[in-house]
Amino acid sequence: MADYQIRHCERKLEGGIYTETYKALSTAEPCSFVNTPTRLTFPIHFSGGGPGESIVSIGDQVAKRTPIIRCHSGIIHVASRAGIVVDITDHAMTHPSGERSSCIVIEPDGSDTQESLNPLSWPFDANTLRDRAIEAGVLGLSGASFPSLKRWIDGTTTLIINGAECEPYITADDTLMQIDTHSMIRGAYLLSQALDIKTIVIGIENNKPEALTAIEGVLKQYHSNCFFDIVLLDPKYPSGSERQLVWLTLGIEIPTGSRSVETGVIVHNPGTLIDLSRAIDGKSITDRLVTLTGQALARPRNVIAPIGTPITDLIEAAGTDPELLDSITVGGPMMGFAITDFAAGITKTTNCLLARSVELQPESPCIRCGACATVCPVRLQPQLMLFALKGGALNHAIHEGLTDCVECAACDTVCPSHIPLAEWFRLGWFQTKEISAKRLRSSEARERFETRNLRLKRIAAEQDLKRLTRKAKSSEALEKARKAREAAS
Amino acid sequence: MTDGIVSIGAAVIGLSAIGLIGGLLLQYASKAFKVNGNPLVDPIDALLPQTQCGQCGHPGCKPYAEAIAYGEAINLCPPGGQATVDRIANLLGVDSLALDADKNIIEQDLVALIIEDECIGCTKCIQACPVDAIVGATKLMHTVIMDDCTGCDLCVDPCPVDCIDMVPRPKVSNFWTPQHPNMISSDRFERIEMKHG
Repeated sequence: MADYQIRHCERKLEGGIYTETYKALSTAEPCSFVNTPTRLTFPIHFSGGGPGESIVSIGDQVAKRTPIIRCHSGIIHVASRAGIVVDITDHAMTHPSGERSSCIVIEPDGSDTQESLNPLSWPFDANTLRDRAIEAGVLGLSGASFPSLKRWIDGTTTLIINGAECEPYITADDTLMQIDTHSMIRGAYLLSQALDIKTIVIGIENNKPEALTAIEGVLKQYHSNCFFDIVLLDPKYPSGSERQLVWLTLGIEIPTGSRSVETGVIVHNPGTLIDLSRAIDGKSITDRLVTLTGQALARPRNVIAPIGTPITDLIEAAGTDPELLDSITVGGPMMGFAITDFAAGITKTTNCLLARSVELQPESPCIRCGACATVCPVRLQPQLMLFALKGGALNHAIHEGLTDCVECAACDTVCPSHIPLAEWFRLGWFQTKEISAKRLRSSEARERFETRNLRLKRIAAEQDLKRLTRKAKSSEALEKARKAREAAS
Repeated sequence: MTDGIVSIGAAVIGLSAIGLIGGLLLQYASKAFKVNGNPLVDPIDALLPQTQCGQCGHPGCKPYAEAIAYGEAINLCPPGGQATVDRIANLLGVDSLALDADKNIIEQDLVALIIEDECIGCTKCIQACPVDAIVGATKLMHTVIMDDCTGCDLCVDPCPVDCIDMVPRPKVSNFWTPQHPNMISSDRFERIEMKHG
């Protein structure tokens, strides 16, 4: 039996909101598999892990788990089902930009051929584990799809399992924690062993009793030399946000501009750890659990679908005609984004498809009530940042703390004037990033320009020197010849 | 009488000593804290877009920055656009000018693309590129390193077989802009009106 304790969280989240959760909607029916769709699409640059390139060509026969995309960051994405690569073309994708980009299109042939990697056997170190995770395409599944592996560094003291699924409607992580508890604990334990971590904290909200029972059941039979510290959290949004979770469970406040790993903490979602556990067994990531929910769906539930499955197929699996919907939210109602082209395939980070009809209210002017400031979990002044951004003063907004905003949209929810504050902050954040990227590019260009000028100067000087020495030699020889001629005559 | 001479002498010697020390200090300072070149050049250069395109009539951004520091017009940089002109005006404390109307303004972020099938490997574009963004060797195919290309189009004219095109910079996952909230709001209005109408 593993050493564990269950305790209530003694800290309170600053700001934040209690929302109607609607979680029971998708848990009424048990989790099930969907039929293999007729087409699977894989965006080459947007599958997570940054831009990449296709390593298959049109007409290739691929097996399940054949590598098809290699990202420049090294992450490899695999085909989720065996089939034929029918096209590599611009295609709709599940991405907040709503743009089309080149995707690999695979038509599954229904066969069961598959490839796999060699299973890793204990003992292995952090580097081996990281290489394996990269090879198997394990990503941080928190939505940002930041290659989570960069965080695995020595000196880490605590691993937090983020079981705080605070977004309303979504039950994907909750379900994963119930149906695949053992893989999750195993992934967390092996990662802890590789990084020499002694404490594993499980942050879980107290509205998930089934998941808690499942975890306890596994821990009672699990042999480990780690200490499992289960922290029961208040179901307040956004306690599942990384910084907030670290503060709630450990009391550590992460300073502005640094990441949790710098304070010796790594945070992973249950899904990431389950994927990691599979990767250790040699199985690259092919499927994911998606919550299909919302009042507009006839049969909301959780499904396990191959990555690349078109959203249309999933809406049909939930018993609704896709024609009836004009848009669907990917992710939760708070931080998700809308998709209108349902041909887009799901990616590794698609945790929820939400279809509901909301009566959106028109925006009114800000009345300076300050409600947004009281719910901000980062203790910012959203109204001041909004004024700055609306006035085009990006620097001022950054001064007010724009880069610390977690885009949780708690301010949107409470705003009596229905101002889409989080949208503004997201835009401002992207502008900030774009400007700094442009600055970086121009300073690199300046450096190359100056290096080139120095090189051209050096080459010219070298050639001058060569010519001068040659000329000196030749005039010397000429002089000698003249003298010899004079002596002869 | 002697008192008077002594005090005058003390004053003369004292003042000369102060003068000497002051002079030596000034001499030292003029050597130790000498400013090479015009101190305005680097801040101006930092504002220029570093395309090194030469459209301002100077062989690169640094030379243009030097020229501005010595009185050249500040509105000659088309890739920087009006925003850059305004920033330079702000830095120098002068009135902003409209961007020189004769210069064709590049609205889009472009990069050079070599049609690799048509390239004959003459290396002329490699010599023209101010930022070493083209790789290749004599009689072998050349190609542009997209990430390093500044879109200056100096390589287009020297190509003898006209195989270089200027194309929009390819979008990668780091470069996309979310929808403007105003657009979203107007979209909201439309949907509501549709519901009522």
